Amino acid sequence: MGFFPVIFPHAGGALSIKHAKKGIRLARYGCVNRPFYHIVVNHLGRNQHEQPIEQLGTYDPMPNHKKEQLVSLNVERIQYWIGEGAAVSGPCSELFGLAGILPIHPETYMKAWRARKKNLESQQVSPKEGNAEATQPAT
Amino acid sequence: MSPSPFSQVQVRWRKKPRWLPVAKSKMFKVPERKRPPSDEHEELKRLHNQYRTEMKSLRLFFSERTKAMSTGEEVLAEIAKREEDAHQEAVRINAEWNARVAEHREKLLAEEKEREVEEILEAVEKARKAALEMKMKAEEIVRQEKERAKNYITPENIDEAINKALDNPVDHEFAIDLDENIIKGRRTKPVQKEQEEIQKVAMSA
Repeated sequence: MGFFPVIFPHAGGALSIKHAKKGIRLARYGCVNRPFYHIVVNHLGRNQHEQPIEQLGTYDPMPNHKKEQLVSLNVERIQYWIGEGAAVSGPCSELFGLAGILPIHPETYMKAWRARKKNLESQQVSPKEGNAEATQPAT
Repeated sequence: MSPSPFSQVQVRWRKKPRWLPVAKSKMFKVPERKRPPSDEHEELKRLHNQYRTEMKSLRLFFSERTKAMSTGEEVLAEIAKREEDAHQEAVRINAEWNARVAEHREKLLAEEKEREVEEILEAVEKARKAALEMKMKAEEIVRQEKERAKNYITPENIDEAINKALDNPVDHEFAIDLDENIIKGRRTKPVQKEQEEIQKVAMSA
């Protein structure tokens, strides 16, 4: 962001340059200690706080009072932009995999088996018994 | 020890300057490289390859689907039909609107015409009245003139008029004394009759 803040509609509207590389990624729009993300499609060389070509959804990583992390996605437009050749960033592809738009991302599997392993290990430590098959990656 | 006598001591973002050597205690320390478990690494490689392949096909599928939305005879025909329908609907609404406006306009114009006719008739009536009045006035003037013409002095009766004037000289000049007495005549002597009149004036005053 420059010295003088530029006001623009955050829902998108920036010019999409043909044949320029574009990406679907998160743009942080929260404040200190309270992250909130817009899922946007923009040119890859651009700053996350510049006006996006289009906003495709939101992601609130902080669990609410019902322990939910809320995500909203514009599925049709996401599929359109992927078809147009937009790159999908890591966190976004994980979200899309969990939402069921894309296949589950390997990173998600990795996190899952590591968490499972850690869980099992902690269980083994507390009652001081159990089996040692948690090291095996299970997909 | 400060890195240089001129440098300020920075509390935040403190970093060792480039020119300082490796600390003696860390001189021969070789950090052990962390490697993920080999089976996990192999599994991740497999998963990533699979993911990439799937993404490639999905990307192709999405782009083909997008293309199919705007190409092909059937799709184009459908789009054209939809546009045509929208146009027909717009035309229908426009015609309806025009009819409504025309009806309204006709009513307005009829009212206006009626009002205009009334105004014209009123104006005509007013003009007729004015003309009549003018005629009456002119006739009145002519009548008065005719009546006055009886007393005109003409070549026939001019001698008579002269004689009459000579017989009755009129002296309009008069004087007023301090007692408000009007004394008529300038060169003529006041007559007895006139003196009586003077008395009357004095009495009334």
